[in-house]
Amino acid sequence: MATITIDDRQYTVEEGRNLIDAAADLDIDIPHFCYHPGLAPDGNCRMCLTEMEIRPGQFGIVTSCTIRIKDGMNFRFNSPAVLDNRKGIMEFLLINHPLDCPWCDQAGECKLQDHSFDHGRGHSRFVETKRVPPKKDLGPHITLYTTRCILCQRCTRFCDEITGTSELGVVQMGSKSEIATFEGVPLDNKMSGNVADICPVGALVTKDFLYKPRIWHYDKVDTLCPGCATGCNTTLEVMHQKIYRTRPRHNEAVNGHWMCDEGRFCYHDWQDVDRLKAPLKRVDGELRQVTWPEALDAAVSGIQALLADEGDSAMGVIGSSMATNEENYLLGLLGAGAFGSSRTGLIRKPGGEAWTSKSGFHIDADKTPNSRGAGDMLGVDSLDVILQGIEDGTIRGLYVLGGDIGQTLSQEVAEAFRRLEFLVVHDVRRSDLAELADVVFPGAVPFEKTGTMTNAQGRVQRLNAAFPQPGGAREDGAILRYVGLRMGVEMGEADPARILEEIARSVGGYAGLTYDLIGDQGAMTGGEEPSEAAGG
Amino acid sequence: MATPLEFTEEARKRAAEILSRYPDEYRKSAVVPLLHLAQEEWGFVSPEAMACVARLIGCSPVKVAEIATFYPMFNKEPVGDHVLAVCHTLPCALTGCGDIFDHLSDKLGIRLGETTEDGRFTLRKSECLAACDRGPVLLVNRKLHTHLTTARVDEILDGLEEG
Ligand code: SF4
Ligand code: SF4
Ligand code: FES
Ligand code: FES
Repeated sequence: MATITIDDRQYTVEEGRNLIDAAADLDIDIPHFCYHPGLAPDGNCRMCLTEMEIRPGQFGIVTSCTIRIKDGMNFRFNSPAVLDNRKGIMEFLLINHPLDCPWCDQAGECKLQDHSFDHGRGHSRFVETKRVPPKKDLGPHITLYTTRCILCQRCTRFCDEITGTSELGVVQMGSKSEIATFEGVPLDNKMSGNVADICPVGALVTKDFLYKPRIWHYDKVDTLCPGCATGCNTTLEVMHQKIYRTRPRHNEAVNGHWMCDEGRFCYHDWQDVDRLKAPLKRVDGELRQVTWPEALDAAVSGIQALLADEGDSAMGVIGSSMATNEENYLLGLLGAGAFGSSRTGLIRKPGGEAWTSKSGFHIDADKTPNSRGAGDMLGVDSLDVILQGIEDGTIRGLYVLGGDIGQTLSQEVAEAFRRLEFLVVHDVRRSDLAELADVVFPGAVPFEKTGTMTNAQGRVQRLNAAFPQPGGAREDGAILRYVGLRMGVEMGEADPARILEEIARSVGGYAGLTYDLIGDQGAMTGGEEPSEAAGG
Repeated sequence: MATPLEFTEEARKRAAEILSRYPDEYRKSAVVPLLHLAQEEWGFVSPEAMACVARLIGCSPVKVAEIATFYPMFNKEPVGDHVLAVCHTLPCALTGCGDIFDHLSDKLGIRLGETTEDGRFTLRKSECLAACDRGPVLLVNRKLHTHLTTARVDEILDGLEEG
């Protein structure tokens, strides 16, 4: 730790920390544009200039973003020279800026707006004609409103330092300088959407979000990306039960400040699904929509017909990598308590492409968010036991959590399921799995669930529902409790925090985990933080 | 993009010599001399030429474009045999560079940035050429002429015509 002085007051801060970050820890805002905590300092925008004591009693102007804290440093954040400088920088930055805030995507979360408000002069002395370079289509996801750019080079440095793809540069000179791609080499990499997040102004925008409703109309929900086993922390922007934007939420141990494009835009796939909004029951060989009581009765009587008086029952359960730890855990309880069955399984989705960026940001090959957690809850990581049971005739019925919109059953699994006498499925659409079932309960997608998931590193993180399920669909945990109640198994309150306490008592590696401990940054199973941050 | 450009055998040898002046981890430092080489080779630095230099120093082509577009002396388009650049920064403006420019423009029948139809002359303005005490000044290709008058300009052009 180091003791420093800011405007004649002493503070204790972390030695070696960047001055802008150290000040932010103290709730002191040093205005800045080019500095971003996920990128190396560049010192180009000059907005962060402050005064520092360079010789005893003598102060000099320095860029805060390039200062690392040492004991005894003495700063003036609000001296006349500092305030004057900020005003000057703001005036220069606004010379060519179009001030088209009313239709700019960034309005409401724009550093230029904020800093103009706090440090600008409120009127322009510039009487010449502003430069109006045309907007540019930089790549599949990103457009550049060239006029709005303040040349902070966060975007170019992102492509140099994080992805290592270097598609962006600053071409031309002086007042003609512009961000550009090279002809034939568009901004097209696996993480390109991040440049729109880090652009401090409205210059870089995602085509996906362009001209959507103004940002201040959304509710924000902190949750997780369901796209792969990395489990990037995200914030959803939501209105009227619809997602309008997904952005990464900082978690140094998981995703740093970033997320991949596939994860960022995957909410469309989930929203475009033709959802199941009522239970289905097989009548005369066909699935028909029925009421909840009818469906529950059908499920329970179908299951009871297969239960043995003693020994392992003819029922098995299959968990879901799309469901939370709590839901998979409740499924285990239902299997053991109501079905008297010890046989569990997990359908593993065939792996996709894994990729690691220059900075170490990792996209997992496992394109489900919770196969690790589901496996931990049910003590299984394959379908082997189930398939064997069906093969030798000892498993004649299954209770399956589905819910993965990107999944199709392999021929082997579909064939095995066809031989079952009774199949109960939770799903969000009429999937090929649902088509084989005798009873289908309409479940929830990850954006409608609250609970925890365990990423590939073994980090348990919180998932938060952004809105309720549509129509008669329900969270899978609730459905499991309805079935449990009808079969005389008490599963306790539905509260995921309470269920997690139970998990912590009974599942290896989860001891000591509580909802509070997990917080908004997650906590490791086995109680150990990884030695090296993976965020990149 | 058009078909990739490659240096001739001779230019490739010179490129290798240029690169040998820099330690391997600083290959990118060779970008300016290599762009000069490209300009000598093809007369101007096209995007294809920038891509060729980028391949030689092992970087993304936009990083070469940053340098090539920053320096006005790299021609981004074909130019005439002789490039005439009149300094138009303040000290030269005070000594009457405007008249020199207008004289050249009238005499050659071209405007700023244009090339004569016969392909002999391109007319430009430049920023300060570091001869402010001797203005107005004119850069002809790589040679600087100072203390200009319109008569002196005619002489210089005649000298070129003959040469
Ligand atoms: S586009 Fe945005 S991030 Fe990139 S230099 Fe301009 S202002 Fe900075
Ligand atoms: S890396 Fe995985 S978890 Fe992260 S944003 Fe991409 S798909 Fe989502
Ligand atoms: S934030 Fe320090 S110079 Fe830009
Ligand atoms: S102003 Fe023309 S040479 Fe300096």
